[in-house]
Amino acid sequence: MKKLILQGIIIVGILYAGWYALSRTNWVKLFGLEEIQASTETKLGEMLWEMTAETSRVVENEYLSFALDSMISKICSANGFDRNSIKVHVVDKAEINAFAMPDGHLVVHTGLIQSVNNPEELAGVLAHEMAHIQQKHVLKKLIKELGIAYLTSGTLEGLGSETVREAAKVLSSTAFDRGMEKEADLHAVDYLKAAGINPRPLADFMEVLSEQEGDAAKYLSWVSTHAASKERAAYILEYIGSDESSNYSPVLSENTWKQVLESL
Amino acid sequence: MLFTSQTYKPSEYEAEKASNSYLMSLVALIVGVPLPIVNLLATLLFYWGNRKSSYFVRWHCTQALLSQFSVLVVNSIGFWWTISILFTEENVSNTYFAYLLIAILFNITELITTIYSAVQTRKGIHVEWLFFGTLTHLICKTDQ
Repeated sequence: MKKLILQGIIIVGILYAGWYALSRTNWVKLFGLEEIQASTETKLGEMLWEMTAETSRVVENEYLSFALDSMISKICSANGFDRNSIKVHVVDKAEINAFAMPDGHLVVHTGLIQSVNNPEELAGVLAHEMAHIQQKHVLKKLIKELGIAYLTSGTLEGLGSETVREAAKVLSSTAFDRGMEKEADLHAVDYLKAAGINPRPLADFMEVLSEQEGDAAKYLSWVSTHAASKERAAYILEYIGSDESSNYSPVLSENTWKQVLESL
Repeated sequence: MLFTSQTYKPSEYEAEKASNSYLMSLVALIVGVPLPIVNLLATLLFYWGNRKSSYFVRWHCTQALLSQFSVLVVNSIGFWWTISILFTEENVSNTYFAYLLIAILFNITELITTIYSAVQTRKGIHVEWLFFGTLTHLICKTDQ
């Protein structure tokens, strides 16, 4: 029996040592998989945005562009992100929603901009979506919901319109899992703090929206797709803690914010 | 690693049967890839059919069967890992590729060992595999 155990250990040991040694090689890089994944993400992002742009009215005005660019640039530069990696778009929809798409496309509905009480709340939502982008949650979610085989077959064949439609539906109307949401919330707080933007309004925004009922509820996509808003508001506030700095400066001037709202 | 000895001289019929047990798993291994259960079932059926044969035949059928279990385990892990990458959020990683390579090397080793065992047992030469031979000795009782 001793001999058997010893021989068993030898075989398992050889296999494990071989596996461990081989896993030290960067096969993913060697096979160029990172590039393939990046190009798939770029293609998918482009297709999704094109489809969104075709089915909605894209809002473009100088006040809005300036305001969003100013917020995103501030967050990016404070956190060392490439500003060009975030492509923000505004579409004219009453639904209170914002969502991230592959390759850094971030779509914001006018309904969301009109519903926030101050620009810091909007910056909080943007930071949250940027966290999903930075943490690569978008592709993970699509792969989880649709499968890598489905996604790559759609993009490799040129355009699987059904694939794109389903992917758009998944991204705009279904929730990330709780772990990803929490990660994005907490990262958003970090991003905002680093950029000198008050993170508390992010929690306020979720709390206020989660309390709305009746007719207004049907427009609350951002909350309904981001489950347990009250609970999230609570842990965001807990994470911010008593580290309430008085150094936070307004993300936009009152006048600029007023012009943004008037331009919609 | 293999050990060979020729203390017992099997008959022509026994050598053929013993050799066939390895050939059975070999053919089924080719057919069964990537579904490793096929080769195990084929070897199991052959083992079942020869469980009342002589010690030499039973011994080699048992060793062939046991070795197929290891192939089943190694290949099943690789198979389900691949499925999880294709259909869930699991990502390809260096660990996954390293496992695939080890699984391929393991299968090649198993293939070569099986061919060698089939050839040797056909000549009536007893071949014992590392671990599986020892395990077979514990399971397979002599005719006495």
